Amino acid sequence: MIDQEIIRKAIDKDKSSFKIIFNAYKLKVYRTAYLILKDKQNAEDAVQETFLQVHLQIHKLTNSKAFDVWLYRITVNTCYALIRKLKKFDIIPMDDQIEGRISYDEADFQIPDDIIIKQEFQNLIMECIYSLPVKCRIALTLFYFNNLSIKEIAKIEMCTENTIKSRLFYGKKILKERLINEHTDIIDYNYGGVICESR
Amino acid sequence: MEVLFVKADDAIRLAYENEILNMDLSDETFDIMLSNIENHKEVIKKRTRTNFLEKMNIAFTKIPFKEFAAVAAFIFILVAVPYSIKHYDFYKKNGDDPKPAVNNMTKDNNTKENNNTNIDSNTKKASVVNLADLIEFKHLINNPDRNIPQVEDLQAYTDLDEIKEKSTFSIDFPKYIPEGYVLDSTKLTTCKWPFSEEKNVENNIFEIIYKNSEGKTFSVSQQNIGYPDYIKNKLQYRLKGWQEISLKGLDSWFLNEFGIMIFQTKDRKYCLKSTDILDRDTIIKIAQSFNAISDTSCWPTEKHEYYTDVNEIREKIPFSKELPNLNSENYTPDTSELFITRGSSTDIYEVNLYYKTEKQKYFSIDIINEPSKPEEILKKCEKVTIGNSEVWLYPCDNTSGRNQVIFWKNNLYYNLSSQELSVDVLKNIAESHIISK
Repeated sequence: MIDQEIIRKAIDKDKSSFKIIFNAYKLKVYRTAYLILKDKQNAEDAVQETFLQVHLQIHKLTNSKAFDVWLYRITVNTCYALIRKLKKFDIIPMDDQIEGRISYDEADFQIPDDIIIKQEFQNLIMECIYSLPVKCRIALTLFYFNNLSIKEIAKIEMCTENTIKSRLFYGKKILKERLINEHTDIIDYNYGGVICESR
Repeated sequence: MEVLFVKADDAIRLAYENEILNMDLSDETFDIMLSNIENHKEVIKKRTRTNFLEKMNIAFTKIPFKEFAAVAAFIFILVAVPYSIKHYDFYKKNGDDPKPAVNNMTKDNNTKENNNTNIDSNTKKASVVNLADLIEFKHLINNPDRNIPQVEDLQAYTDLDEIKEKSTFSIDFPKYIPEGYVLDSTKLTTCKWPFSEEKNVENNIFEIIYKNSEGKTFSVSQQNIGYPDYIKNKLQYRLKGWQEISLKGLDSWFLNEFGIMIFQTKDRKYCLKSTDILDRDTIIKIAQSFNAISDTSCWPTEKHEYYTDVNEIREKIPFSKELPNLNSENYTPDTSELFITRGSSTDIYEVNLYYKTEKQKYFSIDIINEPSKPEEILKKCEKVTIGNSEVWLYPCDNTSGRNQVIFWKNNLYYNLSSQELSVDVLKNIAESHIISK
């Protein structure tokens, strides 16, 4: 989190403050763009385009506290534009694999700890994430990688919080199905975990 | 034997962390980027100046200047001479009275009325609409409580009968209390304020205080604090040392540092147990003794459904006849989705229809069975009248994402939005395909 004063100075067109902002957020934006686009060159383009927009538009930002959300909104919009440009644009196809009616309670799945730590398994998860519809992928990336709240993601995506919840839910649901259907040999699927301690 | 599991959330997080290892760019690359960005702004400025000069150059070189000047002079005479004669007569009669401007405005307004498009003079602040307001507005649309945030009416009650009467939820006492503690006091605080970021509702906090013979106290409180996902997310990233605990299958959270336990009950109500003197096991035991936990009829009932097939969407929604039919040469349906939230009150149907124009520009139409209008937000926007319908316009700048046109018809909320189409184009689509239907 960058100092609000720096953002306010950048809003007032202070060049050195923009530099500080760029250095503070460049990796976050690059990584986010990469995780959405899965292409280093395109992610580089996205970073440049995002910060160019920040540079050109930051004086319009009225609330410096909203900078993070604003920046990620530009990042996501830039990624959408790039995807569309690359003819990959795909507005929530959500695939045929989604069942018509699923209860919210089924979203979580539990995997033994020793499997999680395996590199192979992590790669498998990322493969599945990259194969998700772009809107699900963006929701998962912003939620799990950028640690944004559902409300913040809804602001970025200009949609309701319920929509974001559904995207997260279906992203996880598809992940679960693919992991379990395709790799039952390494996943010991267990629904009835007793104690779940995450940290 | 206790089995340790890591949940899907953690698996996904670990996968992301692993993915970004060794993929970062060098500082040099970023420096070049920064330089490009800073220079780009200058380039744009220069380009604007250059473009202007180029255009002027073309105007003076490619167009025969003498002929151009002759045509311009002719047009000037045609327009300026009658205008001067007219106003010469007017000023001769009225002196310096600036009535011509008033007359012109009246004429403009009449023209707009004839076109059935009357701009409300009190709501011309569309250009300064805060994006956060738009989101808040969309959120309010889905918020069954429909209240605009207010911080007022702070009241406190200590009498149990009065508490039962005033509380908006049924109060619950734990059946298990640690040995040596007895009920000391109860307190209900009611106020209208946006306590939860999710809901702007009248918020009640019911607190029970227990005391032992040494004067030590702990409290148990119950209040409405929002959605499980929101709470979980807040805890996870804002506070350290929390643990996720499954209480009879319900997601709950325990914070070591504060000795607080949060658990979920029906209708998004949560109980929050707070103490700094009890150990974790005792706190969990107290939590488990609540009716809200032991009685499954008190468990959350909200369910979500999702559909993408257009035919299935038409079958599922109660307002299928109201769906717009934009399948024409100009607009092609792209994808569609339906989110149903079935709660204890009214079911919410949110239909999102995506279209593309013949020029491959995308726009969407969201339709929700939500008739209430949040005036606090709407009054900040430009309101126009199309036919008999009031329509609100939300133009956005380049970075904010989307232009939006919002209106209600037959108790349904419509939101046309696009990153690529202007508000006027969206307004025309709304007018020709939905409002006049």
